[in-house]
Order: sequence, then structure tokens, then C-alpha cells
Amino acid sequence: MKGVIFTEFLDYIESQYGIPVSDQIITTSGIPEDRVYIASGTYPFGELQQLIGCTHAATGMPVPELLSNFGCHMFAALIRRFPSLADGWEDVYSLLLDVDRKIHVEVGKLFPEAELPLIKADAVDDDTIRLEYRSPRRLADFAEGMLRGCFQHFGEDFALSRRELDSQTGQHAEFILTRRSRGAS
Amino acid sequence: MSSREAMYARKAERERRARLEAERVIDSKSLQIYEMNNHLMKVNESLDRRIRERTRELEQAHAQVLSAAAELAEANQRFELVLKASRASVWEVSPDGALVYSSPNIEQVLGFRPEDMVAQGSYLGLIHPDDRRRLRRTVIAALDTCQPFEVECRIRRIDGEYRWFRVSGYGDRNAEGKLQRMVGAMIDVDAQVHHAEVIQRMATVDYLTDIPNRCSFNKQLQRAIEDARKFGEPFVLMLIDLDNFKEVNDTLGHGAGDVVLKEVARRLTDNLKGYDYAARLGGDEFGVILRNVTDRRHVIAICNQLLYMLRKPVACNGSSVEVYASIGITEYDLSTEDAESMLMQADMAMYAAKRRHLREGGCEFYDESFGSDMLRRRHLEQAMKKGIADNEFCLHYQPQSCLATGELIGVEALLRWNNPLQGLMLPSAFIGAAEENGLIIPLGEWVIRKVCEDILHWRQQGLNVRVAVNLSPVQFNHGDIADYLRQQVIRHNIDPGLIELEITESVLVSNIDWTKSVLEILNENGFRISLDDFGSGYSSLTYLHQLPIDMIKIDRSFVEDLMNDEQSRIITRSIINLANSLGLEVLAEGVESWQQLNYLLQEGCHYAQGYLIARPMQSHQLADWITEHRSEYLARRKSGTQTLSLA
Repeated sequence: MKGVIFTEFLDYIESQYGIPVSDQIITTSGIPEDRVYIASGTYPFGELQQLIGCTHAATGMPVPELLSNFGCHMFAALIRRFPSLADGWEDVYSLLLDVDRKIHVEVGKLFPEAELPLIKADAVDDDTIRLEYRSPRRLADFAEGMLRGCFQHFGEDFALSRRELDSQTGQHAEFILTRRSRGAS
Repeated sequence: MSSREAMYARKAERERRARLEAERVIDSKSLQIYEMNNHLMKVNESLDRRIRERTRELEQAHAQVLSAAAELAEANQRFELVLKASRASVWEVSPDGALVYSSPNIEQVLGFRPEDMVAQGSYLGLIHPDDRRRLRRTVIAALDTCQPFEVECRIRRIDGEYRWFRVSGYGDRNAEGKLQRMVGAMIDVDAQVHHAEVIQRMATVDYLTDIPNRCSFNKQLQRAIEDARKFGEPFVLMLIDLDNFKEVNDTLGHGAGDVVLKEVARRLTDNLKGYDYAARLGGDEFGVILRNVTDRRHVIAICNQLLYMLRKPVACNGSSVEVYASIGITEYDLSTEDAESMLMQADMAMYAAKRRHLREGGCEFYDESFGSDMLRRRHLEQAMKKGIADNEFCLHYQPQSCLATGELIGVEALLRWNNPLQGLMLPSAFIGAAEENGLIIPLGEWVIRKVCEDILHWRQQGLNVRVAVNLSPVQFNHGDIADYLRQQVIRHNIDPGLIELEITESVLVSNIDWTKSVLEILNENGFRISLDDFGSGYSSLTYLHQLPIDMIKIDRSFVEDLMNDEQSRIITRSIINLANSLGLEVLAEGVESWQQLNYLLQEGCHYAQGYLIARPMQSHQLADWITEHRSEYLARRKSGTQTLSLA
């Protein structure tokens, strides 16, 4: 998994719970002491799971909620880091339809080793998108948070419903996004 | 250290290590970028090199394209110039025969615009109907054999006029041999075709008479021989030569001669059947091929009809001319070798006709004996030419005396030929041949020159001798004999009265007007004229009255029989009386006995010539003979004898 997830996760914990909590999570996670994360590095997904587990233990925040909030944070962080990422799309609707066929293509070029989830978006009508998430890492919560971060970025109000399409929760889920109001931009 | 400080220390350490890791990653990435950059630079250089190579290739290709374009433009320009220079129009026809292209200059050639030509679809409509089949056949044959074709045909212009064009073309086929198109050119050859027709006509038709010429005749003769061989069709070849044509030219001019030739041609063609053939072979010679005749009587009848028609007077230059012709005839038979031998046979027959029917026209069939006769004549002709060149000819002189006084009145020049093989030959052996082959002219002129020289020689010896010179009818009718004689007497400073010209009656009958005019000129110039062999020929009294004749010579045949033939005596007496009545001098030839001489003297004949008086002698012997003859004559005169002495 790309290091930017780790660095942003630790920054998020530190910003949400302070340095002592953050230090506690790192030191109790069982991750080797000499491990350092940099954004451009690539690290085992298991280490993220350890960090998430330790955060839940330290803060009492349910994991789905933690992942969702972190997803919302991550979207803003990605836009901050890669401003051009959102250039060219004027709203949630158009951006989501291009995630799989354009954005992930460009990410693949930038980070060839990245293991990206399958995101399939279909326009149901002018204001409704059906989005299908599929990943063995079962991060549908994180994806849901990313969607919310996207709504916030464009200032648009969407009703979001989620349906699991697999018995393994978070591995294969369907999101129905229905626009309630358009953003100012 | 407190736990708080330891926490921050750990955080600082984590961040320091993260920074170091980031720096390491950055260094690693920088190195990767550097290497990538190097690689890219190499790739770039490679690309640059390839671009330069490709650019060079493109530039070369571009230059080649430009060059090819320039060459194409040059070729196009050259093509246009060639079209202009050759006046050729280029065309293209599709495999189904539709005209798909015509070069712009077609408008100058035919008057049609190229697009109108193409719009017509087919060019066949413009081809002359008589030429279409030939054109089509030629094109199909060329296509079948994959060869180019060339054909001449008439093509209609926009104004309706047909002109001759030479059309050439070639069928363009693809690799599979399928006809793609036919391309070619056409050029106006109208003038050439018409010139060729004129040339063809000139080559086959006689320009003057508008009947076929010798070339056509030879072909027709060849065809007649082939037909005779293949189909057994008999035919007869006739060569016709006008006997007196030269006189017409000489007396009335060549314009009159042309009129006569045209009229002869017209009469010949008018009197022949459709399948017979007449041509002018040159000069005054005509050829006729009579088809399907086998009976000689029929051939003779046709010849007589032609001779009769030709003899009818032709009016030219205000005069009336009768044409006499000699016709040589040869019949085709299986032994005939070729056209040339037939022509030779007819030629020999024609000359035989000339000899047999001298100056009166007639026909003669070829006989095998003519061949040897002709050969003999050819040999004789060659020997005569050599004899003239080698000075083998000489003159003997036979004295002529006055019967009453015995005085020498003159001599007759007699031609002799010292032939190296046959010895001394008399005129009867070669004069006829000389008249036929024309050598009589140089020979006759030599005689005149020699006579002048001998007169001059005798004068230097104190002798004034008159010489009688025989003129052949051919010589008389050739050129200006009077002018030649005048030139010679002037050149030798001789009195023309010392030359007496002996002509025979045959000269008189050929063309009396011409003869009269020549004799009058000779007479005016002081030459004497005598009529030789009188009584043996036509003996027209009219001539004697009209012509300026000084003396009549009685033919030796009458003198020879004088003593034993009453008829000869009657004739001789009549001639002498006639001459005396007309005031003409009269001389008897061939006097060989005293009885003859006394009879002639008794009848009033003036002069005599013969062996009784003197045999012919050489010029240097004459002086001695005269001296001897004169002394005897003076002795006779002194003794009162009036009879002639013997030499």
C-alpha cells in the first residue's frame, strides 16, 4: 500500500487525538521501531490494519466510522497534494464517472506498484450515479468516506445509500448517490 | 528524561528517520531520473539521428520528386513540342472502342474541339466509309499479334472535307495480357497521299500522251505472259515505231512532234479493243499487246487497220503530217522465255519491217532468222564504230566525163572500208546497217570533210575538180545538212559549186516539202544537186519540175541492158529526152562499152561514168590520170576525133 495512506493516517490521528495518542498507537502497534513512512514509499497493508486496530483500542472509535472519517480526510489530502487531480471536473457527478477510466489510469502511471480498487460508476440519470466498489482489502468504509470528502470538495449535497454485494463486508459494495443540490462552483 | 520528553524524542527520531528515508528515496529517484535522463538523452540522440536520417531521406525523396516533376514537366513540354513539330494528334481509345482522350491540337487538324471529339464517343463515324473495314481489320490484326499498327485512311473534318491521315496505335495490355486501352497518333498526310498519287501516275502514265508508259507496259506484258502460261491465253506483242517522226520534229518543231505523238496515242487506243493494251515506250515508239488472237491474218488485219488510221493526216502548226509506222510483231509461244526476250523479238521484227517497207510503213512478224541477223548487225555496228575511230574508211573517186568532148567534168566520191578482217568493203555491205544504227551521220560527215580536204589538196596541185557526194536519206533528214555543208566549205575555203550532192528518189518521196526546202537552201548556197539512180524508183516528173536539180543520173541497170533490151533503150531515151526538155544535165552510170557510149551520145546524153572511162581510184592517183587523160584528149582534139578516149 502506498505510503501516502500511512503518512496521512498518522497525521489524521495526530490532528484528531494529539501527539501522545499518536505516539501511543505507533509504539503499541507492534510495527518495527525503525519503520518510517514516507508518502512515496510502499508498505504492507497489514501494518495499516495494525495501526487502525490500535487506534480503535486507544480511542474507542468504531473502525467503520474511523475508516469513513479518514476517507473523508484522505480525499481532501489528495486534492491538497495533487491539485491537478480534480482539475477538469466541475462536479461530483462528472468526476466519479471518470474515476476508473481516467483517474485510476493516471495514478497507475504515477505509481505502477499501487493496488487500486475497482471502481465502476454508471449514470442512472442526470442526478443519480450507481457506483460499485470491489477490493480484497474490504475498505468500502474508506471509499464511502472518500465519497463524502468529494461531496465536500465540490460543495454538493448527495444522498448516499450503500448496499453490500458480498458476504464479506466492505469487499464488494454498491453505492447509490443521488444529488440533492448542485454546488456553487 | 520525562515520558513527555521521551515521546517527543521518539517523534523527532521518527521524523528524522522519515526525512532521511525521504532523502534516500529522493536520492534514489534522482539517480533514477538522472539515469532515465541519460537514457532519454541517448534515446533523444538516437531519435535526432533517425530524424536527421529520415529528414535526409525525405530531402532526397523530395529532391527526387522535384527532379521527377521537372523531368515530367520537361517531358510534357517536349511532348507538346513534338506534337507541334510533327503536327500529330494523340488519341486514346478504351477497350470497348470509345474515344476517351484527344490532344488539344485536334482542333487545328479536324476543327473539332477535343471535348467534342470525346463526347462523340466513337471516332468511327468520322472515318470514310470506304476505309472503315480496312482500318478495323488492321487494328484487330495488330491487337491479335500485340503489334503496333499503322494505316492510312480518310477522316472527315468539321467542314465535311475528308483528308488522308496516317493513323498509328498500340494496344496497352496489363500483366495478365488484358487490353487496357489503345493509344496512338494521327498525322495529316493528305498532301503526301496526293503527291504519291501524282508520282504513281507519273511512274505509270506517259505524261505527254496520257497512255501507259514503258514501266506499265512491262508489267502488263509480264502479266500477259503469266496468264498465257497459266490459262493458255495467247497474245501478241507489237512494237510500233514512227518512220518519219524525226522529220516532223526537225521541220515543224517539237510542239508539232508532241501533237503527232498525242494523236498517234489516241488513234492507237481508239482502234484497240477493251482488253488490248497500248503504251508509249519512249520517243516515237509504242507498244501494243493484243489478247486472245492466234490467227496471223487477224493480226495483220489489225496492223493494217492501225497503219491506215495512223497514216491519216495529222494537222499541226498549219501543216498536214502523214505518219508512217513500222510494226514489229511477235507471238507468245511456249518457248518464250520472258518479257525481255519478247521485246527483243518484236524489236528485231520492227527493224525488219523498217528495212522491208522503207519509209512507207508496214508490219513484220518475228522470224528466228532475225536473231542471227540482229547479231550480225550488232557485230557490224561495233566494227564500224571501231573503223571510224581507227580511220579504216577511205574515199575512192570515179571520174565523170563529157560524152561529146571527153573532158573530165568531175568525179564521184565512193566510200570504201578497209576492214581488217574482210578486206576492202563496198558501201552495199555496210551503208544499210549504218543507216539503221545511226552511224551514217558521223560517217557521212567524215565523207564531206574528207572530200573538202581532197578538193583542197587537188587545188594545191592546180586541179579544180568537182566532186559528187552521195547523201543518204537518213543523213539528208538528220539535223541541218545544209548548215553542215556550208560550214565545211567555208572552213576549207572551197567553192560550193565544186560539190555536187547526189540524192536518191527515196529522199524525195518521204516529205516533199522538207526536201524541197533543204534542196533550195543548198542550191542558194551554190551546191549542185543531182538525182541519183533515176528510173529505178518512183521517178515522179513532178519532183523534177519542182526541185532545184542540176543533173539526172540514169540508173546503171538501164545502161547495162542498153544493147540487148529494147525496153531499157526506150526508158533511157525517155529519161534523156525528159532531162533535155527540162533543161537538166543528164549522166549515164555504169558505162562499160563503146556501144553503150555511142548510143548514149547519139541519144543526147551529156555525161558518162563507168569502167569504160575510169575505174574508181584513190585521190593521189587522180592527178596522174587527169594529166594523162588531158594529153590524150588534146591529141584527139587536134586530130579531130570527137569520141571519148579511154583512160
